[in-house]
Amino acid sequence: MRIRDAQVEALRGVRETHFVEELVVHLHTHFPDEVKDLSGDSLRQELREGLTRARGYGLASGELQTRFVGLAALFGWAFDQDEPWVAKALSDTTFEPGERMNRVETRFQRRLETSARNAKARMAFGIEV
Amino acid sequence: MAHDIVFKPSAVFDPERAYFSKCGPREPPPSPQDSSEAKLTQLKAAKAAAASISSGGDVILPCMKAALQALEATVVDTEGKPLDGILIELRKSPTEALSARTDAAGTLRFQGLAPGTYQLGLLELDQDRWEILGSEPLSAERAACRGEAAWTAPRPVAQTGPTSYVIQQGECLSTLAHLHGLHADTVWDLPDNRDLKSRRKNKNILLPGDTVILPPRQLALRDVEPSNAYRIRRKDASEQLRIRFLDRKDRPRGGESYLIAIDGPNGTEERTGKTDADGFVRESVSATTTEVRVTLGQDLERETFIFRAAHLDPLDTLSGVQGRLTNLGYPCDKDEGKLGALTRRALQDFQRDEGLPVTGEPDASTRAAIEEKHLA
Repeated sequence: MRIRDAQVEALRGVRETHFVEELVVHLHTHFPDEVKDLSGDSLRQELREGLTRARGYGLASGELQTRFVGLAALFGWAFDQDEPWVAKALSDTTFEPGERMNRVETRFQRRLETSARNAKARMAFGIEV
Repeated sequence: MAHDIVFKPSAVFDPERAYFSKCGPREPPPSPQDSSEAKLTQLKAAKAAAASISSGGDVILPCMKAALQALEATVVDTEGKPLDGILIELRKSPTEALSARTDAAGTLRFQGLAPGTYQLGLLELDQDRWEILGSEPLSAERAACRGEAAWTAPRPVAQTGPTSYVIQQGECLSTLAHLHGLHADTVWDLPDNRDLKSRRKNKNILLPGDTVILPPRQLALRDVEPSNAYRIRRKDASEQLRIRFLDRKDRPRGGESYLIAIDGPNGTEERTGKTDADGFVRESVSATTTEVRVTLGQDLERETFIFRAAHLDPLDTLSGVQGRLTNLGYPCDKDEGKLGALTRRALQDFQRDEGLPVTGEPDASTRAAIEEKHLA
Protein backbone atom coordinates (compact mmCIF):
# COMPACT_ATOMS: atom_id res chain seq x y z
CA MET A 1 0.00 0.00 0.00
CA ARG A 2 1.36 3.44 -0.89
CA ILE A 3 0.58 6.52 1.20
CA ARG A 4 1.19 9.87 -0.50
CA ASP A 5 2.33 13.04 1.31
CA ALA A 6 -0.91 14.82 0.45
CA GLN A 7 -2.89 12.04 2.05
CA VAL A 8 -0.77 12.22 5.19
CA GLU A 9 -1.31 16.00 5.34
CA ALA A 10 -5.07 15.66 4.97
CA LEU A 11 -5.09 13.03 7.64
CA ARG A 12 -3.04 15.31 9.90
CA GLY A 13 -5.51 18.18 9.60
CA VAL A 14 -8.49 16.09 10.63
CA ARG A 15 -6.55 14.49 13.44
CA GLU A 16 -5.36 17.89 14.67
CA THR A 17 -8.86 19.30 14.91
CA HIS A 18 -10.08 16.24 16.74
CA PHE A 19 -7.04 16.26 18.98
CA VAL A 20 -7.53 19.88 19.99
CA GLU A 21 -11.14 19.12 20.91
CA GLU A 22 -10.01 16.16 22.99
CA LEU A 23 -7.52 18.42 24.74
CA VAL A 24 -10.22 20.98 25.50
CA VAL A 25 -12.23 18.27 27.23
CA HIS A 26 -9.08 16.95 28.96
CA LEU A 27 -8.18 20.36 30.37
CA HIS A 28 -11.73 21.13 31.51
CA THR A 29 -11.77 17.75 33.26
CA HIS A 30 -8.40 17.94 34.99
CA PHE A 31 -7.72 21.67 35.25
CA PRO A 32 -11.16 23.28 35.43
CA ASP A 33 -10.15 26.26 37.56
CA GLU A 34 -7.16 26.99 35.39
CA VAL A 35 -9.15 27.20 32.15
CA LYS A 36 -12.56 28.42 33.31
CA ASP A 37 -11.79 32.06 32.52
CA LEU A 38 -10.71 31.34 28.96
CA SER A 39 -13.19 31.48 26.12
CA GLY A 40 -13.36 28.46 23.85
CA ASP A 41 -11.45 30.24 21.08
CA SER A 42 -8.79 31.57 23.45
CA LEU A 43 -8.25 28.13 24.92
CA ARG A 44 -7.94 26.56 21.47
CA GLN A 45 -5.46 29.25 20.48
CA GLU A 46 -3.34 28.57 23.57
CA LEU A 47 -3.52 24.86 22.82
CA ARG A 48 -2.41 25.27 19.21
CA GLU A 49 0.50 27.47 20.25
CA GLY A 50 1.42 25.02 22.97
CA LEU A 51 1.30 22.09 20.59
CA THR A 52 3.58 23.93 18.17
CA ARG A 53 6.15 24.44 20.90
CA ALA A 54 5.78 20.87 22.13
CA ARG A 55 6.52 19.55 18.66
CA GLY A 56 9.48 21.91 18.42
CA TYR A 57 10.95 20.06 21.38
CA GLY A 58 10.49 16.75 19.58
CA LEU A 59 7.44 15.67 21.61
CA ALA A 60 5.85 13.71 18.80
CA SER A 61 3.24 11.51 20.47
CA GLY A 62 -0.24 12.60 21.48
CA GLU A 63 0.44 11.49 25.03
CA LEU A 64 3.53 13.68 25.39
CA GLN A 65 1.80 16.65 23.80
CA THR A 66 -1.13 16.20 26.18
CA ARG A 67 1.19 16.15 29.16
CA PHE A 68 2.92 19.28 27.85
CA VAL A 69 -0.29 21.31 27.62
CA GLY A 70 -1.30 19.98 31.03
CA LEU A 71 1.83 21.52 32.49
CA ALA A 72 1.08 24.71 30.60
CA ALA A 73 -2.43 24.91 32.06
CA LEU A 74 -1.09 24.36 35.59
CA PHE A 75 2.11 26.41 35.56
CA GLY A 76 1.41 29.03 32.93
CA TRP A 77 0.85 28.87 29.21
CA ALA A 78 4.44 30.01 28.59
CA PHE A 79 5.91 27.85 31.39
CA ASP A 80 8.65 26.51 29.13
CA GLN A 81 9.78 30.05 28.34
CA ASP A 82 9.23 31.59 31.78
CA GLU A 83 11.62 29.07 33.38
CA PRO A 84 14.70 28.58 31.16
CA TRP A 85 15.54 25.18 32.64
CA VAL A 86 12.33 23.76 31.14
CA ALA A 87 13.22 24.61 27.54
CA LYS A 88 16.76 23.37 28.14
CA ALA A 89 15.56 20.06 29.57
CA LEU A 90 13.02 19.53 26.79
CA SER A 91 15.70 20.23 24.17
CA ASP A 92 18.32 17.90 25.68
CA THR A 93 18.84 15.27 23.01
CA THR A 94 20.84 13.15 25.47
CA PHE A 95 17.41 11.74 26.30
CA GLU A 96 14.50 10.46 24.26
CA PRO A 97 11.50 12.82 24.18
CA GLY A 98 9.54 10.72 26.66
CA GLU A 99 12.38 10.82 29.15
CA ARG A 100 12.77 14.57 28.69
CA MET A 101 9.11 15.06 29.58
CA ASN A 102 9.50 12.68 32.56
CA ARG A 103 12.40 14.73 33.89
CA VAL A 104 10.53 18.02 33.58
CA GLU A 105 7.39 16.62 35.19
CA THR A 106 9.42 15.06 37.98
CA ARG A 107 10.97 18.40 38.86
CA PHE A 108 7.60 20.13 38.96
CA GLN A 109 6.17 17.28 41.04
CA ARG A 110 9.04 17.44 43.50
CA ARG A 111 8.56 21.16 43.82
CA LEU A 112 4.88 20.68 44.60
CA GLU A 113 5.63 17.83 47.03
CA THR A 114 8.10 19.99 48.94
CA SER A 115 5.69 22.89 48.99
CA ALA A 116 2.86 20.64 50.23
CA ARG A 117 5.08 19.14 52.95
CA ASN A 118 6.15 22.58 54.07
CA ALA A 119 2.55 23.77 54.20
CA LYS A 120 1.61 20.74 56.32
CA ALA A 121 4.49 21.47 58.69
CA ARG A 122 3.34 25.06 59.10
CA MET A 123 -0.22 23.94 59.74
CA ALA A 124 0.93 21.35 62.28
CA PHE A 125 2.85 24.09 64.05
CA GLY A 126 -0.22 26.29 64.11
CA ILE A 127 0.57 28.76 61.37
CA GLU A 128 -2.59 28.99 59.31
CA VAL A 129 -2.33 28.36 55.59
CA MET B 1 29.76 16.26 62.88
CA ALA B 2 27.55 18.40 65.09
CA HIS B 3 27.03 22.10 64.68
CA ASP B 4 26.31 23.42 68.15
CA ILE B 5 24.95 26.71 69.31
CA VAL B 6 23.41 27.93 72.52
CA PHE B 7 21.03 30.83 72.24
CA LYS B 8 19.11 32.88 74.69
CA PRO B 9 17.42 36.21 74.09
CA SER B 10 19.19 39.30 75.35
CA ALA B 11 17.56 42.19 77.13
CA VAL B 12 18.49 44.42 74.22
CA PHE B 13 18.16 42.49 70.99
CA ASP B 14 20.94 43.08 68.51
CA PRO B 15 21.37 40.90 65.41
CA GLU B 16 24.97 39.74 65.24
CA ARG B 17 27.28 37.37 63.44
CA ALA B 18 27.46 33.86 64.75
CA TYR B 19 28.34 30.40 63.52
CA PHE B 20 24.71 30.57 62.72
CA SER B 21 24.35 34.29 62.42
CA LYS B 22 21.73 36.96 62.87
CA CYS B 23 20.31 35.33 65.92
CA GLY B 24 17.31 36.99 67.40
CA PRO B 25 13.58 37.30 67.18
CA ARG B 26 12.01 37.95 63.82
CA GLU B 27 8.46 38.09 62.57
CA PRO B 28 6.84 34.70 62.17
CA PRO B 29 6.91 33.18 58.70
CA PRO B 30 4.16 34.37 56.34
CA SER B 31 1.05 32.28 56.00
CA PRO B 32 0.65 31.83 52.28
CA GLN B 33 -2.31 30.18 50.68
CA ASP B 34 -1.02 26.81 49.52
CA SER B 35 -2.57 24.75 46.76
CA SER B 36 0.39 22.46 46.17
CA GLU B 37 -1.38 19.31 47.32
CA ALA B 38 -4.32 19.95 44.99
CA LYS B 39 -2.02 20.72 42.05
CA LEU B 40 -0.07 17.54 42.68
CA THR B 41 -3.26 15.50 42.53
CA GLN B 42 -4.32 17.26 39.33
CA LEU B 43 -0.96 16.67 37.70
CA LYS B 44 -0.87 12.97 38.49
CA ALA B 45 -4.44 12.38 37.34
CA ALA B 46 -3.91 14.31 34.11
CA LYS B 47 -0.70 12.39 33.37
CA ALA B 48 -2.49 9.07 33.81
CA ALA B 49 -5.34 10.23 31.58
CA ALA B 50 -2.96 11.48 28.88
CA ALA B 51 -2.13 7.90 27.95
CA SER B 52 -5.73 7.36 26.84
CA ILE B 53 -5.88 10.36 24.50
CA SER B 54 -6.42 8.53 21.25
CA SER B 55 -5.82 11.15 18.62
CA GLY B 56 -3.00 13.62 18.23
CA GLY B 57 0.68 13.17 17.74
CA ASP B 58 2.57 12.39 14.58
CA VAL B 59 1.04 9.88 12.25
CA ILE B 60 4.37 8.14 11.96
CA LEU B 61 6.47 7.42 15.06
CA PRO B 62 9.86 5.70 15.29
CA CYS B 63 9.72 1.99 16.03
CA MET B 64 10.95 0.45 19.24
CA LYS B 65 14.43 -0.94 18.77
CA ALA B 66 14.06 -4.42 20.16
CA ALA B 67 17.79 -4.96 20.47
CA LEU B 68 18.48 -1.72 22.37
CA GLN B 69 18.01 -1.35 26.07
CA ALA B 70 18.05 1.20 28.87
CA LEU B 71 19.95 1.43 32.12
CA GLU B 72 18.82 3.46 35.12
CA ALA B 73 20.84 4.83 38.01
CA THR B 74 19.39 6.44 41.13
CA VAL B 75 21.66 8.33 43.49
CA VAL B 76 20.68 8.86 47.13
CA ASP B 77 22.32 10.33 50.20
CA THR B 78 23.09 8.48 53.43
CA GLU B 79 19.46 8.96 54.52
CA GLY B 80 18.06 7.57 51.29
CA LYS B 81 16.93 10.92 49.93
CA PRO B 82 17.28 11.31 46.14
CA LEU B 83 20.05 13.59 44.92
CA ASP B 84 19.37 15.97 42.08
CA GLY B 85 21.98 17.08 39.56
CA ILE B 86 24.62 14.36 40.10
CA LEU B 87 26.79 13.96 36.99
CA ILE B 88 27.09 10.35 35.81
CA GLU B 89 29.07 9.04 32.86
CA LEU B 90 28.50 5.71 31.14
CA ARG B 91 31.45 4.48 29.09
CA LYS B 92 31.11 2.02 26.26
CA SER B 93 34.79 2.20 25.32
CA PRO B 94 37.73 4.54 25.96
CA THR B 95 36.37 6.81 23.21
CA GLU B 96 32.60 6.48 23.59
CA ALA B 97 30.55 7.73 26.52
CA LEU B 98 27.21 9.20 27.57
CA SER B 99 26.90 11.66 30.42
CA ALA B 100 24.09 13.56 32.06
CA ARG B 101 22.79 14.61 35.47
CA THR B 102 20.23 12.93 37.68
CA ASP B 103 16.74 14.43 37.72
CA ALA B 104 14.76 15.73 40.68
CA ALA B 105 14.02 12.11 41.71
CA GLY B 106 17.75 11.34 41.75
CA THR B 107 17.41 9.14 38.68
CA LEU B 108 19.16 9.08 35.33
CA ARG B 109 18.14 6.87 32.43
CA PHE B 110 20.61 5.94 29.72
CA GLN B 111 18.95 4.65 26.55
CA GLY B 112 19.89 3.02 23.25
CA LEU B 113 22.36 0.54 24.72
CA ALA B 114 23.34 -2.71 23.10
CA PRO B 115 23.72 -5.68 25.45
CA GLY B 116 27.15 -5.86 27.04
CA THR B 117 29.22 -4.47 29.89
CA TYR B 118 29.74 -0.75 30.38
CA GLN B 119 31.56 1.32 32.96
CA LEU B 120 29.79 3.84 35.14
CA GLY B 121 31.39 6.68 37.07
CA LEU B 122 30.28 9.71 39.07
CA LEU B 123 32.60 12.28 37.58
CA GLU B 124 32.35 14.98 40.23
CA LEU B 125 32.80 12.69 43.23
CA ASP B 126 35.98 11.21 44.60
CA GLN B 127 36.21 7.43 44.55
CA ASP B 128 35.72 7.30 48.32
CA ARG B 129 32.55 9.36 48.15
CA TRP B 130 30.17 6.93 46.45
CA GLU B 131 29.29 3.25 46.17
CA ILE B 132 26.82 1.04 44.28
CA LEU B 133 24.38 -0.38 46.81
CA GLY B 134 22.80 -2.89 44.47
CA SER B 135 20.78 -3.40 41.30
CA GLU B 136 17.54 -4.93 40.13
CA PRO B 137 16.33 -5.84 36.64
CA LEU B 138 14.20 -3.33 34.77
CA SER B 139 10.78 -4.47 33.57
CA ALA B 140 10.56 -5.21 29.85
CA GLU B 141 8.61 -1.99 29.38
CA ARG B 142 11.16 0.11 31.22
CA ALA B 143 14.10 -1.61 29.54
CA ALA B 144 12.81 -0.97 26.00
CA CYS B 145 13.62 2.21 24.10
CA ARG B 146 13.24 3.71 20.67
CA GLY B 147 16.38 5.59 19.77
CA GLU B 148 20.05 4.85 19.62
CA ALA B 149 22.45 6.46 22.04
CA ALA B 150 24.43 9.47 20.84
CA TRP B 151 27.92 8.50 21.96
CA THR B 152 30.52 11.20 22.48
CA ALA B 153 34.07 11.28 23.76
CA PRO B 154 34.41 10.77 27.53
CA ARG B 155 34.69 13.98 29.52
CA PRO B 156 38.29 14.84 30.32
CA VAL B 157 39.23 14.29 33.94
CA ALA B 158 41.89 16.69 35.14
CA GLN B 159 44.67 14.92 36.98
CA THR B 160 46.30 17.64 39.03
CA GLY B 161 48.17 17.68 42.28
CA PRO B 162 46.81 19.02 45.57
CA THR B 163 45.40 22.55 45.40
CA SER B 164 45.25 25.16 48.11
CA TYR B 165 42.08 27.09 48.87
CA VAL B 166 41.65 30.20 51.01
CA ILE B 167 38.55 30.12 53.21
CA GLN B 168 36.02 32.95 52.75
CA GLN B 169 33.41 34.08 55.27
CA GLY B 170 30.48 31.66 55.27
CA GLU B 171 32.62 28.68 54.25
CA CYS B 172 33.63 25.71 56.30
CA LEU B 173 35.49 22.54 55.53
CA SER B 174 32.33 20.46 55.06
CA THR B 175 30.96 22.79 52.37
CA LEU B 176 34.35 23.08 50.72
CA ALA B 177 34.87 19.32 50.58
CA HIS B 178 31.34 18.85 49.30
CA LEU B 179 31.82 21.40 46.52
CA HIS B 180 34.95 19.58 45.37
CA GLY B 181 33.38 16.13 45.53
CA LEU B 182 35.52 15.04 48.44
CA HIS B 183 34.64 13.52 51.78
CA ALA B 184 35.15 16.07 54.58
CA ASP B 185 37.24 13.62 56.60
CA THR B 186 39.50 12.95 53.58
CA VAL B 187 40.38 16.65 53.49
CA TRP B 188 40.64 17.14 57.26
CA ASP B 189 42.92 14.13 57.71
CA LEU B 190 45.24 15.05 54.86
CA PRO B 191 48.82 15.35 56.16
CA ASP B 192 49.08 18.70 54.34
CA ASN B 193 46.35 20.06 56.63
CA ARG B 194 47.97 18.87 59.86
CA ASP B 195 48.94 22.40 60.88
CA LEU B 196 45.44 23.75 60.23
CA LYS B 197 43.94 20.85 62.16
CA SER B 198 46.10 21.55 65.19
CA ARG B 199 45.21 25.27 65.15
CA ARG B 200 41.47 24.86 64.52
CA LYS B 201 40.02 22.05 66.61
CA ASN B 202 36.72 22.13 64.74
CA LYS B 203 36.89 21.64 60.98
CA ASN B 204 33.72 23.68 60.55
CA ILE B 205 34.87 26.70 62.50
CA LEU B 206 37.58 28.20 60.34
CA LEU B 207 38.74 31.76 59.95
CA PRO B 208 38.46 33.64 56.66
CA GLY B 209 41.99 33.54 55.31
CA ASP B 210 42.75 30.01 56.54
CA THR B 211 44.29 27.89 53.79
CA VAL B 212 42.97 24.38 53.18
CA ILE B 213 44.81 21.89 50.97
CA LEU B 214 42.48 19.88 48.76
CA PRO B 215 43.67 16.52 47.45
CA PRO B 216 43.05 15.62 43.80
CA ARG B 217 39.82 13.81 43.11
CA GLN B 218 40.24 10.16 42.09
CA LEU B 219 37.80 8.82 39.49
CA ALA B 220 36.26 5.38 40.04
CA LEU B 221 34.53 3.34 37.30
CA ARG B 222 32.28 0.38 38.04
CA ASP B 223 31.04 -2.31 35.63
CA VAL B 224 27.31 -2.18 34.85
CA GLU B 225 24.92 -3.79 32.36
CA PRO B 226 21.79 -2.53 30.53
CA SER B 227 18.28 -3.59 31.54
CA ASN B 228 19.17 -2.95 35.15
CA ALA B 229 18.41 -0.21 37.65
CA TYR B 230 21.33 0.64 39.94
CA ARG B 231 21.04 2.29 43.33
CA ILE B 232 24.04 4.40 44.25
CA ARG B 233 24.77 6.07 47.55
CA ARG B 234 26.78 9.23 47.96
CA LYS B 235 28.73 8.91 51.18
CA ASP B 236 28.36 12.15 53.11
CA ALA B 237 29.71 12.99 56.51
CA SER B 238 26.69 13.19 58.75
CA GLU B 239 25.95 16.76 59.75
CA GLN B 240 23.73 17.52 62.68
CA LEU B 241 22.57 20.88 63.87
CA ARG B 242 22.09 21.35 67.59
CA ILE B 243 20.72 24.62 68.90
CA ARG B 244 20.00 24.99 72.59
CA PHE B 245 17.39 27.54 73.61
CA LEU B 246 17.48 29.02 77.09
CA ASP B 247 15.18 31.55 78.66
CA ARG B 248 16.39 34.78 80.30
CA LYS B 249 17.00 32.92 83.53
CA ASP B 250 19.22 30.36 81.84
CA ARG B 251 16.58 27.66 82.09
CA PRO B 252 16.29 25.29 79.11
CA ARG B 253 13.21 25.82 76.95
CA GLY B 254 12.42 22.13 77.02
CA GLY B 255 9.42 20.47 75.40
CA GLU B 256 8.60 23.43 73.17
CA SER B 257 7.20 22.92 69.71
CA TYR B 258 9.22 24.46 66.91
CA LEU B 259 9.10 24.93 63.20
CA ILE B 260 12.45 24.78 61.43
CA ALA B 261 13.12 25.98 57.89
CA ILE B 262 16.38 24.78 56.33
CA ASP B 263 17.62 26.57 53.24
CA GLY B 264 19.75 24.85 50.65
CA PRO B 265 20.51 25.07 46.95
CA ASN B 266 17.32 23.17 46.04
CA GLY B 267 14.99 25.32 48.09
CA THR B 268 13.63 25.35 51.63
CA GLU B 269 12.53 22.36 53.65
CA GLU B 270 10.32 22.91 56.69
CA ARG B 271 9.79 20.49 59.56
CA THR B 272 8.24 20.54 63.02
CA GLY B 273 9.61 19.11 66.22
CA LYS B 274 9.91 19.61 69.96
CA THR B 275 12.93 20.72 71.90
CA ASP B 276 14.21 18.03 74.21
CA ALA B 277 14.27 18.34 77.98
CA ASP B 278 17.53 20.30 77.78
CA GLY B 279 16.10 22.79 75.30
CA PHE B 280 17.87 21.37 72.26
CA VAL B 281 16.67 21.43 68.69
CA ARG B 282 18.44 18.53 66.95
CA GLU B 283 18.07 18.28 63.18
CA SER B 284 19.99 16.77 60.28
CA VAL B 285 21.38 19.31 57.86
CA SER B 286 23.58 18.99 54.82
CA ALA B 287 26.90 20.51 53.86
CA THR B 288 25.01 22.78 51.50
CA THR B 289 22.76 24.31 54.16
CA THR B 290 23.13 28.09 54.05
CA GLU B 291 20.56 29.36 56.53
CA VAL B 292 18.26 27.96 59.18
CA ARG B 293 15.21 29.63 60.71
CA VAL B 294 13.67 28.32 63.92
CA THR B 295 10.26 29.48 65.13
CA LEU B 296 9.39 28.88 68.77
CA GLY B 297 6.47 29.83 70.91
CA GLN B 298 2.82 30.32 70.17
CA ASP B 299 0.58 33.24 69.40
CA LEU B 300 1.91 36.56 70.69
CA GLU B 301 5.05 34.93 72.07
CA ARG B 302 6.00 33.37 68.76
CA GLU B 303 9.51 34.30 67.63
CA THR B 304 11.59 33.30 64.64
CA PHE B 305 15.37 33.10 64.95
CA ILE B 306 17.64 33.16 61.93
CA PHE B 307 20.99 31.40 61.82
CA ARG B 308 23.46 31.61 58.94
CA ALA B 309 25.75 28.64 58.41
CA ALA B 310 29.51 28.82 58.85
CA HIS B 311 29.70 32.43 60.00
CA LEU B 312 31.18 31.83 63.45
CA ASP B 313 34.89 32.54 63.72
CA PRO B 314 37.26 30.45 65.87
CA LEU B 315 37.26 31.19 69.60
CA ASP B 316 40.86 32.34 69.57
CA THR B 317 39.76 35.40 67.58
CA LEU B 318 38.00 38.40 69.10
CA SER B 319 35.23 38.14 66.49
CA GLY B 320 34.73 34.51 67.57
CA VAL B 321 34.38 35.63 71.20
CA GLN B 322 31.92 38.35 70.19
CA GLY B 323 29.79 35.96 68.10
CA ARG B 324 29.48 33.48 70.94
CA LEU B 325 28.77 36.12 73.59
CA THR B 326 26.01 37.52 71.39
CA ASN B 327 24.43 34.09 71.01
CA LEU B 328 24.57 33.67 74.78
CA GLY B 329 22.63 36.89 75.29
CA TYR B 330 25.49 39.37 75.67
CA PRO B 331 25.28 41.37 72.44
CA CYS B 332 28.56 42.88 71.27
CA ASP B 333 28.98 41.99 67.62
CA LYS B 334 28.62 45.58 66.51
CA ASP B 335 32.19 46.12 67.72
CA GLU B 336 33.15 43.93 64.71
CA GLY B 337 36.38 42.41 65.89
CA LYS B 338 37.48 45.39 68.01
CA LEU B 339 37.63 45.40 71.80
CA GLY B 340 35.15 48.28 72.13
CA ALA B 341 32.80 49.38 74.89
CA LEU B 342 30.07 46.91 73.90
CA THR B 343 32.47 43.97 74.03
CA ARG B 344 33.98 45.02 77.37
CA ARG B 345 30.52 45.33 78.91
CA ALA B 346 29.48 41.97 77.45
CA LEU B 347 32.61 40.31 78.80
CA GLN B 348 32.10 41.88 82.23
CA ASP B 349 28.47 40.78 82.37
CA PHE B 350 29.39 37.25 81.33
CA GLN B 351 32.27 37.03 83.80
CA ARG B 352 30.06 38.31 86.61
CA ASP B 353 27.30 35.79 85.77
CA GLU B 354 29.81 32.93 85.62
CA GLY B 355 31.64 33.84 88.81
CA LEU B 356 34.87 34.74 87.01
CA PRO B 357 37.16 37.68 87.77
CA VAL B 358 35.47 40.69 86.19
CA THR B 359 38.24 41.98 83.96
CA GLY B 360 36.45 42.86 80.73
CA GLU B 361 39.25 41.01 78.92
CA PRO B 362 38.88 37.88 76.74
CA ASP B 363 41.39 35.93 78.84
CA ALA B 364 41.94 32.19 78.73
CA SER B 365 39.57 31.29 81.58
CA THR B 366 36.84 33.45 80.07
CA ARG B 367 37.27 31.83 76.64
CA ALA B 368 37.13 28.38 78.25
CA ALA B 369 33.90 29.29 80.04
CA ILE B 370 32.44 30.68 76.81
CA GLU B 371 33.30 27.48 74.97
CA GLU B 372 31.73 25.36 77.68
CA LYS B 373 28.54 27.42 77.70
CA HIS B 374 28.31 27.79 73.94
CA LEU B 375 29.17 24.15 73.24
CA ALA B 376 31.59 25.08 70.44
